[in-house]
Amino acid sequence: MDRDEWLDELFRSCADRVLAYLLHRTDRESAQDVLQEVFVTAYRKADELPDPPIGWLLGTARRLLANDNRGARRRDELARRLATQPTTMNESDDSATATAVGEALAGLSANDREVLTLSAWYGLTGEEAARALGCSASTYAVRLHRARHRLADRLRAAGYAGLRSAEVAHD
Amino acid sequence: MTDDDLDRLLGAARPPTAADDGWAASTAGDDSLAAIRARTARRTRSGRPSVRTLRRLRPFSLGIGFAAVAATVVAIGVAMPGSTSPRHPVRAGGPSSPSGPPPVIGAVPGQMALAGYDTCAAMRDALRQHTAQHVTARGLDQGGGGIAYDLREPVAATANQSTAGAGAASTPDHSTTNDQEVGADEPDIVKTDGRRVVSVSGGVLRVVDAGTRKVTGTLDLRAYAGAQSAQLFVAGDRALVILGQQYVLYGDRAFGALPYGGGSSAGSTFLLVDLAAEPTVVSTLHTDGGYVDARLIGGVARVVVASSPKLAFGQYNGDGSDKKAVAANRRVVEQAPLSAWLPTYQTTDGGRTSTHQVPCDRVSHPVHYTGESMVTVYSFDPATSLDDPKPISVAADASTVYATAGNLYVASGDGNRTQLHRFWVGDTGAPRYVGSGSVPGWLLDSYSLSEYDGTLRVVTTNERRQATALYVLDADTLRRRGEVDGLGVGENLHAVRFLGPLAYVVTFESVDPLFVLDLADPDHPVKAGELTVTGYSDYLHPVADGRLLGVGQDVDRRQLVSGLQVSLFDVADPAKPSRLDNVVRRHTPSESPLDPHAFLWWPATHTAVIPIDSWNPGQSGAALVVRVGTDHLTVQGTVHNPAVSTEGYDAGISRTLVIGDDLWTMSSSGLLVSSLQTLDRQGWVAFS
Repeated sequence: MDRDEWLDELFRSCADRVLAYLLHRTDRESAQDVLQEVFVTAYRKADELPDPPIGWLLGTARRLLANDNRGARRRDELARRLATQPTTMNESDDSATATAVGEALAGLSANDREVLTLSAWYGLTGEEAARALGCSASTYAVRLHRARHRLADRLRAAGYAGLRSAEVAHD
Repeated sequence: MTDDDLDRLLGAARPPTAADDGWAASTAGDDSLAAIRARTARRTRSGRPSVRTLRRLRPFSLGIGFAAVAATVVAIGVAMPGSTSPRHPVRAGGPSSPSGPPPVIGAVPGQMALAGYDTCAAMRDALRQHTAQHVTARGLDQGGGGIAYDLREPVAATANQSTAGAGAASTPDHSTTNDQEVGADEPDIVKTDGRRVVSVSGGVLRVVDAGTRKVTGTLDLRAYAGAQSAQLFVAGDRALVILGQQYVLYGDRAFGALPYGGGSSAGSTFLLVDLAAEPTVVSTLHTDGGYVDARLIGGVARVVVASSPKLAFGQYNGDGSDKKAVAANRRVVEQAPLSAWLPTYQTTDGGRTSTHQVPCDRVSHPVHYTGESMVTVYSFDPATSLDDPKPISVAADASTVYATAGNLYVASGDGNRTQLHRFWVGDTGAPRYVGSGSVPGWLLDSYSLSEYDGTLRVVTTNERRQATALYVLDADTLRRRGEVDGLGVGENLHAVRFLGPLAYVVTFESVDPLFVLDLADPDHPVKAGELTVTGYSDYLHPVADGRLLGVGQDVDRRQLVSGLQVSLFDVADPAKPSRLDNVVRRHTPSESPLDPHAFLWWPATHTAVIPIDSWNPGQSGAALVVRVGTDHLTVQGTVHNPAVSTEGYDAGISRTLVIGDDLWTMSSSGLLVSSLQTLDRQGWVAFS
């Protein structure tokens, strides 16, 4: 397989998740710019890409996004989006839970949000998420553990119904 | 709660995106892959990429806190009724055709503080010293460190054109970019002069004849990095295209070293495009600094970029050898040549490329500075060439640019204080650095700044104290004359609008505080009145004497944002602001905060047009058309552009214009022309 074919395959199999990650964190135009930069970089560094490559791709997207210097308004796009997200959901019980979780998530630090969403939203394994964050798998496990605790604390404090499963789990 | 439970809950809270339903295999994915291929192909042809050091990183030091609950505060200040200036025109925006160069504003100000360095050697030593004080184990917090390996030489893009532009006819009335200040045009993704519509969308520049409603010329810019977020100015038959941020990674930088990881910009590229016939790139400028913002003032483009010193710090491995790392990095700084700090730029004109460095006699510094960043203002006349951009640099950082017809202000912040730097741009030459000052807190955006009657007014939020303050500075010295502090304690600042002697400030939170500011004495401004309503505005626009339109979000019973809200405020009596009417569109999020460029106000028919965004795949965006009466709002209807593809990806309306009696709505799929009166479809210009 030549490098062009390899790029095609990489794009078709991973671009969805990379773009979703970016769309959660920046505007559509910047998301497209960064997405393209991620794959141009991947092409250039094809030999260094791990297998599976998704952790590397999201980590690269994350680093490229870090210098988006458009001022205060964009400083925590994901938190903002979570805050306004309920408008797109139906007013069912499920969406009330989603709202509560989104709210709790938005209240966490950006680092905690990153740790939690990499696995839950983009399906990264621990090892892949660690690669995306540039830390060891064991460090990621610790960070994930702590972030989950903080999220659970916030949900508990908010007293949302979704926590009934927590009581079940403790039984 | 088990981890699985949490993961399930988290999964349910994931906002949907346009990338969720097989996007990579869709036609939109095809387009994206084609653009990537265009760039990898170029790279292969041009051979080994050059290596150079570039650094730019803006740490995300300030999170905008999550706020579930909202209420509006409209604080109103009345400034200086006894002021010597006659009634200040309260601008109502709209179809003001660009009218000649603005008058020269005042005399050239004198230098208010030490500006230049005595010699190049003195500059080098001072920069080394100031920079070394801020070195950490990771290098500099302001920037990354190490070697970047990306370089994109400007290349000629491919041009296409169907038919030449139509001859000159009488130019119909038309809207212009919704700029903050008269006489200081802002770059945007579409511009019209009434005869043609020049847009840049999806990395392609297009010229559309307004009369025939046909694409008369295109220029594919997708081989350039940053093409997707390009913006432009149009002056006569020339377009100045500003390519978006160019992203570059550091080769060997540790991923986790900084809060958001390391990253850097590869500088910025500006293209001068001739539109007289087939759109052609006639001249290019590439700066090593990252683009911040630009203004077109009196026919001269003023482009602000910020660069960081090119210092090759060692890789930080975080193994507890911080002291050694700091010492090593300090040595790097102390041995660095002056050229590490001096901004460089490349110009290409008529096929010749030359590289320049800003000479040290054009570099200044404020009294207090760190050496970690350099702001450069480039100036050129789009009618000529980019080959002599007359740069001047100041040892400072930049994140916000505000300009009037006579002065350009550059602001930056570290989260605690906002630094302000003033440049005089009252003639067509290089700007003159006048001086610097600072205020506590951080700026929301350029609308938080306003020059008026010899003063500069600044609204900032102090994160630690969670309060908003308004400062009145002397514009010549940037020293503080007066302030109103403690606005919206515990709340987030949401919108600021200065209109002549009036200031409007929106903050929001769960309870309903209300402020009125009386700035009659700029040295002793005081609080004077307030207004409370549900929801909040994040953009304010004057629509008539004593009437203000607010665009923002409504809030539901659970006190969560529930949809677009447009409000009409009566502000005729600053002591008693009230809301006359409001329109709410539930479950139709607008872009929030609204980009002021996306807002259209057409005074002739009292029409406001606001794009309604959508994050859902398959759901097309729309533009909401509202008629504004003296004391009420009427929804005239919505306009929908056709979806760009069967997947319906990204058909949202990004901009709206008025030409003659027609409303033009732009999406990535094309320009829809509708009757402003009836909203009936008049034509469709596809961006194919």
